[in-house]
Amino acid sequence: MDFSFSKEHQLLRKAFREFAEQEVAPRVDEIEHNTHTSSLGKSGLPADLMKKAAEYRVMGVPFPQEYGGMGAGETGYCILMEELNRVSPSFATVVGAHTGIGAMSIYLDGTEEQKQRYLVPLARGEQIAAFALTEPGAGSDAAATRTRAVREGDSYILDGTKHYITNGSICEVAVVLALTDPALGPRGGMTAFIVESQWEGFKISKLEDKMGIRGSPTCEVVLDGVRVPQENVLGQVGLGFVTFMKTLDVGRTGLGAASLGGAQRMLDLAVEWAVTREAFGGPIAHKQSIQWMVADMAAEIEALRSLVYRTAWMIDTGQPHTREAAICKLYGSEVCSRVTDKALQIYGALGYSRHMPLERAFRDARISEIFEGTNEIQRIVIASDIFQKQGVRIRP
Amino acid sequence: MTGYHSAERIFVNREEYIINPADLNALEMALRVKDENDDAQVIALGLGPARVDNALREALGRGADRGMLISDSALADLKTDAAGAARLLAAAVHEIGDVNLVLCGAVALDSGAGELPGRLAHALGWPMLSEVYAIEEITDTSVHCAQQIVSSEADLPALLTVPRDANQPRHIYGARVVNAYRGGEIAAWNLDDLGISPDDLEPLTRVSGRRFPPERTLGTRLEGSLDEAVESLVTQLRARELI
Repeated sequence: MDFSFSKEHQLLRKAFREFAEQEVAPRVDEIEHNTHTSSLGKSGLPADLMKKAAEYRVMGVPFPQEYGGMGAGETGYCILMEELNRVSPSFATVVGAHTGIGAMSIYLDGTEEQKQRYLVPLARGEQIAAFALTEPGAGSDAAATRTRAVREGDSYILDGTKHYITNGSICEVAVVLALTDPALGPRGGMTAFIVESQWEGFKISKLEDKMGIRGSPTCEVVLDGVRVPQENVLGQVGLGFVTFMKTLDVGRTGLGAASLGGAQRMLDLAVEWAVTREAFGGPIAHKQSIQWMVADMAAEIEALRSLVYRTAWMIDTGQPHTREAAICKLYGSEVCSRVTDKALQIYGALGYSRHMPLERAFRDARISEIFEGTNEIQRIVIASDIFQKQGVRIRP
Repeated sequence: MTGYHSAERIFVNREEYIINPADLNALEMALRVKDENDDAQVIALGLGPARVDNALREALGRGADRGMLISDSALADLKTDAAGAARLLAAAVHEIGDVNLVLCGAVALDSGAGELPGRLAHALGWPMLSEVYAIEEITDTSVHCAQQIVSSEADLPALLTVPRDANQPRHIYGARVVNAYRGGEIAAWNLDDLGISPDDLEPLTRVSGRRFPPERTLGTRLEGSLDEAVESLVTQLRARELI
């Protein structure tokens, strides 16, 4: 058993930290206030930053180099997400939706032709991906998907509404889950499609005005009779639900890594303040109330770090990881929220001020308990896996 | 207050070794030559213990084509100096062959001596231009450089020293890091490979003491609203008769 990062991973961390601190950190206010426009005329991230991210292959870290990626695997991707989320949860969210689930679904289930056509430009960062699962009536209950795909000759015609879609307004490619056989539902009746945003009928309606991660564009996507050629079916017809769930199993690990980065930053800030701030004649680090908060923060962060990188290792070595990935997402998001809350408490009123990064971090952290499957869904995934091994199949 | 403290020992942070910052600027200058000349090759050359291998792989990650390491267990016990290091590096440059430009960081962060580049140029018998901020032009036979005050030129082959902050080094490319660690080994030479014996490395100089660099004093932080801060600034500038 060896728990150390390899020299390669250590140098990758240095590379990602350098990128995050030198390219992203100076732009966080600009990203937060979301004043930039994308090629579709909707809000997105600064174009020059996205270009730089593409140049350094930040948008394709886990994918093999023959598909335009960095070839750093899930472990490399988790290091990236940790480093990016330390600096900008908004930017990390855009990368996560693009790489961790959007492009990832094509990598996992795409044909060689689909990988060459779509994954290569996505991994190179020349195009942006979105992952269109959620609908107004189908959030946690993804099996209640209503978007229809009706076969017409060599194509499918897609009709429906997807919402809360990260990158929806800036994507060139969206992976969409739709019903091909309503009678079968999720078990054989849903299919995944690779849809280009430039195709007729792909419409962006409202942009969400969110509490946090305000620099990441989230919008509603309306599919109004979009004609999708048959060769853009991702995976097998009828097995789209499987493709989507399998993709989320990988994406959740990266989300845990992002939470780890966010939490670590909060601990770093809290420690810095505790040794600087003086009250009752000395630094507040001497107060047991502060020490215990800091110790609890550190304990949870260390547990999360071990969990995240063990799960990444399981993915990289081809082991089943559904339960562990759900635990990464569940535990990671809750640790990040708890640690952020404690850091804010240590800063006191100063932490509540918008002049300090804690207020934004507090708002940014909250979404991780909700998106990519609410934490309630993660608990169902974990419990299902436990009971399945006892021969009991539980249903939500 | 500016002053020197005498220090018995300088504690090294053993958690992380870094490439000397000025060397990163020298590497960036070399990579810019390569950006402009398709057939140019950039070779990162390191001298030191086995761990220097990681610094060379970082150089590959930033864009160098090859890394070469001079490493020998005998060196650990030798008290050599910049002259000895220059002999070793010069031998390696000859071994590589067909080198027409050597770029060195002007001063090393840990010693602050800045002695090595001059010694190396001497050992090679090449002209040296120091404190080069940018290469203005490079031809088959000469290099034209911008220094802080003047521009200078030298015949090739030549050695240039590059000060810290002469340019903004590019970041590390993750894909190059992956290839640097999975691709192949960093070529390594020992003293025998370079035809040098420990006797050739007799030091010409000795370190006779160490001290901390001058302490920097922190500036004054102006508190309060913008108006209050401006008023305070003006008052302080007037008090010092600067305005």
